[in-house]
Amino acid sequence: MESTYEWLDNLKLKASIGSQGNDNIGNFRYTNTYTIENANGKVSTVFNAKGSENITWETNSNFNAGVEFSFLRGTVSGGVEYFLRKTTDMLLSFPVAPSLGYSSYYANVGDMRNSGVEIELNFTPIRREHVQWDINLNMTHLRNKITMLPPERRNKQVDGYSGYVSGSTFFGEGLPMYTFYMRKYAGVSDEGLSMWYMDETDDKGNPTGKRVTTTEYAKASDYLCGDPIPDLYGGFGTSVNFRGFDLSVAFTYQIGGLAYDSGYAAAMYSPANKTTGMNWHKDILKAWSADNASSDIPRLQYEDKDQNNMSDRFLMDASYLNLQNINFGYTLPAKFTKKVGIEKVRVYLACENVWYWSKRQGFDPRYSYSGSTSQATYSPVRTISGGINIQF
Amino acid sequence: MKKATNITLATLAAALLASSCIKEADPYEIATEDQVTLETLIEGIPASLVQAGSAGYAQDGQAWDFALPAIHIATESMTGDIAIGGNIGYDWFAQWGTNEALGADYAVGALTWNNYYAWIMAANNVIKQIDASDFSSLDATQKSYLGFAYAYRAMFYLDLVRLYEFKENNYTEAPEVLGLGVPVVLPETTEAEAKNNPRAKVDDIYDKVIFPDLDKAEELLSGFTAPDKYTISLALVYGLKARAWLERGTAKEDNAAYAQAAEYARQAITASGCTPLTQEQWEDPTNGFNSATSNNAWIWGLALPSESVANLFLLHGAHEYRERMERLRKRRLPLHQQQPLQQYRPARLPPSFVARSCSQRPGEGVLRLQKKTP
Repeated sequence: MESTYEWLDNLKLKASIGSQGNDNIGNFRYTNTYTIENANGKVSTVFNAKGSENITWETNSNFNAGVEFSFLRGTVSGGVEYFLRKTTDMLLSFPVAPSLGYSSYYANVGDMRNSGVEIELNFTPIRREHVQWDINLNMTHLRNKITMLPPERRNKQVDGYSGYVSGSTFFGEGLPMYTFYMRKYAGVSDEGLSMWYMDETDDKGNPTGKRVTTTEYAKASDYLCGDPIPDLYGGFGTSVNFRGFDLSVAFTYQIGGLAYDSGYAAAMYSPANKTTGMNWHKDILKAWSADNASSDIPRLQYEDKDQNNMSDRFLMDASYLNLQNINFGYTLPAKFTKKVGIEKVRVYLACENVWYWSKRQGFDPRYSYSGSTSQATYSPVRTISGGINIQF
Repeated sequence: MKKATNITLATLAAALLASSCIKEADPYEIATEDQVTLETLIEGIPASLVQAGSAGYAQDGQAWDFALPAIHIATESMTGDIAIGGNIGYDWFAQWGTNEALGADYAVGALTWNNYYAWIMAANNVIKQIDASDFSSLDATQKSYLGFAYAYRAMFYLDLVRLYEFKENNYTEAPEVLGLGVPVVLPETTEAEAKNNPRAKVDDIYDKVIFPDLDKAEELLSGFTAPDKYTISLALVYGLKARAWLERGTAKEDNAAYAQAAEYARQAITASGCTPLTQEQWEDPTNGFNSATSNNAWIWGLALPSESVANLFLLHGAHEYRERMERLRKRRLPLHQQQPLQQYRPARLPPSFVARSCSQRPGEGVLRLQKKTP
């Protein structure tokens, strides 16, 4: 081991295993609940939520294994870790036919697996008495899969997967959670109308197994359209200290995954009675026309219905780069401040949520794990602050 | 010293015991299944008919969300019977009035669909609990409760079938839905059956649900005297029968059905002792239609307790009101199921803004924020 003394500071192998419960779904889910209402002076109860009698804890079993290391007196350090998180009796709101009088109830709908690798690296290229420069980087690669759904949760078959539909997502055994399930856009027709794919049926209504296109939204079929889980996500940053000045910058990022750009979808509307006079996205200029027949954006025609309805046309690559913060400061030399009895004085300027880059301006996929975005919610607000830090 | 330690230990033990009792908490905001009774269940039906925010959209500023009175305004708007003056931007029923975007993809569909089926479930829950195989074995209270439940259920299906039936007309053709009503959900309908429950035939809904339910209600309520206009009465059952037969008469050009309608209308008038409105009463904007008791023409009315009278537009209202709306909002589809609707619904608005959905078409810029005037 003595031969490693020169370059190796620390090398640790680690592994852990454990499990924990989760029941963060509100109380009294084992039974039907009612609100108490005034019925013309009499006490009455009005149905509130459906319960499920055999509901139990969701259990998460975690297994982690990895190495931590530090080389060359701390110049390079970091760690690599594999994680496997098995969720059994996953608690999810299970949708039912709303004609039952309620639309869903919480139940243990199945099992899920999250597995992946986390890597963290810290590098200090310069470390001298008055100068230090650090660089850090971390990344996570995650795979997610629903491993088991019991028979009562498998009421639909899609592309060989069995599971259930919940709004515009499909929960299928063997598929990632929140897999998008919606109309598939097939470009525009010769008349400039939106087209979507549909399963062809024969005269008796049986599927022929072929996909054809239709300009009627209501007739189009839903298909699996990818999922919101990124290939890689994490953060990186750097900090420099130079004779009392300090500067640090931190980024977060995501590569891959899909999100629905509802802001863009809304800004590409077709004008109609009472639906006019709202802002368009500039892409509307590229809409199909006789002179621009190669466009895949439907024509702009008053009273054209359904042209911009939900489909994978508005599913965007959710990759982003986010400049989370910049900090800049100056610490007065201690030899001056100590004379007046002050340990440390630092003047600083800080900026949070500085900027983000995504596939389309205004499309903010940063905080949506299920891949839905909304133009009606605000992105985190950029704040710039300054201050003086005094320690006695 | 030893004594002091003992006391400390005893206190500690008591504290531990006390904290372990929390497990058996009783709900204080809601009631659980074992706390409700047949009486609170049946009283819950008229209470839910006037429950503000019952479709789950009031929290988002959708001011059309106030149960059966709102449905009545919506249907009045659909027939063009409501004149809108002044600032038409505040006409929350414009979608019904103009017959625009009323389908399954739009939030407004919840007003009829979600409400009626929640009420049908409430009626079914009462029917489920009373053994209806032999009416003579029931006591007077059970008879009246079961009679109410059947009358309510018939009323709900009668409304639904009239709202959703496609009728032959000169303008549109839809042979594939001709003669189809709505899915029928009964106490015995299972979750799996409901998932694959196509629209029942209009004739079947009348013949197998509405008329049998009204017949049973008539029998069960034959000796019952309603204490007020807000309680189901035999006269109301006759009135519903008259309406149902009138529908059948016009649908099939059937004179026998018309005769039944006339017969039951007469019985409704006799049993209720009601008299038609005079022209003066009819045209009185204060008393004509605003109260069940201001004249002698109303057979049945909805009591509106103060809790249900709320400014649905007031997103940042009283704390209790917000809590209540939040609870109702949770009742609608869970978040990840809402994507088709989310485009015109704000997730959360800052208090200085109110939301107006100008048009409810997905994919069209439908959310407009208006600065609230002070």
